[in-house]
Amino acid sequence: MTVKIFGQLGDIIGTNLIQVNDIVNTTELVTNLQSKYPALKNAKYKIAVNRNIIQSNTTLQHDAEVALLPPFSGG
Amino acid sequence: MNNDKRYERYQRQIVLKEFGVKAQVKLLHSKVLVVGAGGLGCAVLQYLVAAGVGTVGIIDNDVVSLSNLHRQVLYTCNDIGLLKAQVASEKLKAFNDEININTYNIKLTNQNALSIIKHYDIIVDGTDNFSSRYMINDACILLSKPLIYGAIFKFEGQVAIFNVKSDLNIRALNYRDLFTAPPKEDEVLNCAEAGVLGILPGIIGTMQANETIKLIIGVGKTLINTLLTYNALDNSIYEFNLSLNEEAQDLIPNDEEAFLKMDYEWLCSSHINNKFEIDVAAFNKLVEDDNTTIIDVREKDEQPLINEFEHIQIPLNQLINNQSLIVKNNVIVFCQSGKRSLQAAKMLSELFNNKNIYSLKDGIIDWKKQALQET
Repeated sequence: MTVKIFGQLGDIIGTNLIQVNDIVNTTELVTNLQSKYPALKNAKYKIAVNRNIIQSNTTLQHDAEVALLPPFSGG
Repeated sequence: MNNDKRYERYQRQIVLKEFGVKAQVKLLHSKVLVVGAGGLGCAVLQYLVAAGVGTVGIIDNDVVSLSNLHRQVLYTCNDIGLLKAQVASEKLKAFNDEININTYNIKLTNQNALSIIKHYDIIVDGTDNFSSRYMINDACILLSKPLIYGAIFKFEGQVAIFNVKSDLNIRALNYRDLFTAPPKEDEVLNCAEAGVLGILPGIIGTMQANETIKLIIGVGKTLINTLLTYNALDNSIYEFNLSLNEEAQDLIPNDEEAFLKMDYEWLCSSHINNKFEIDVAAFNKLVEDDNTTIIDVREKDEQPLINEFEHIQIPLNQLINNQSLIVKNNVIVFCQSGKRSLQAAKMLSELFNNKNIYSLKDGIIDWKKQALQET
């Protein structure tokens, strides 16, 4: 599955697109990403799965498209 | 629409079959408040005024500075130091003298927001900080006003319409359904710190103006309950469907009294970290101490480059991974304005409980300024 990274999270992860496999849900995805990129723990962002913003742990199919969306303040 | 001159002004949009005289009349009768006359505001305002929105409110207490001009295209070199709302208002009157423009040279706060917002049909958020964004969101919920949201970061932008009911079964969704509670201001960089592509607020602001006009005239598909993201580097556009967040409801003030009591600045401030801050004098003294490690936590390419004192560079997001580089007893972190360094100081204090951790207050830009004054 693909994880699309937006805004300042790209600076933490170092890219705006990553591929991951064998992840069953969004909680597991976040845990994995946080252990690889510790600065993510302090970042605020919303998760979308297949272009739908989710509010709780969500099962991920192998072809899911996940997006990590941080808030922007600039104007 | 019996005035020939007026018809001529708007003729090119009136001839669109989806638009017509009916849509023009709706625009002329509508009232839109644009909060912030910065990058987003400059774009939104020009198109709303040109399209013939009957009453446009502009609210901003800031003055024009040279570093605004690359993106805030209503202003010229002659306007530096003048009030943005005032200058914008005068320029816009020259664009279209048939509409009403209300100028507010003040900061919109929770103390004045309800009495101003209630006079308008739609509110456009063009502000540049989270405390204003959450305050405007909450005010729009209390007054049931549609909110046209836009925000930018470096090369990316977000646009959405909040607080318009689209599904009879659920309440109207708002900014807090997307981002429930405000991040602290030091958790997210603003334009001054992160930089921003000048054309980006022009694109995002123009999208906000387009959504405003479509919402007024009831034509096309709008971004109600949808977050649109745009990336200027690769032209990618995504749309995400918003969803209801039960927790969001608890954070919104229930009534006017509760709203007036909210401290939006405090919600977004870094007050809890202030114990780490040191001023320029204390900083200069510690620089002389051999037992001090000084860390620049800015990104590698950020200006100004510092060669006045010895230091190491570790960008904020790599600090934890590079903690082995920090060996001395005193540690001072600095960044552009003192916000990221405060966050760094907090992180370091959690990593090392036997070191003295300091953050340069107001950042290296202020330090440079003071150093220049002394020479």
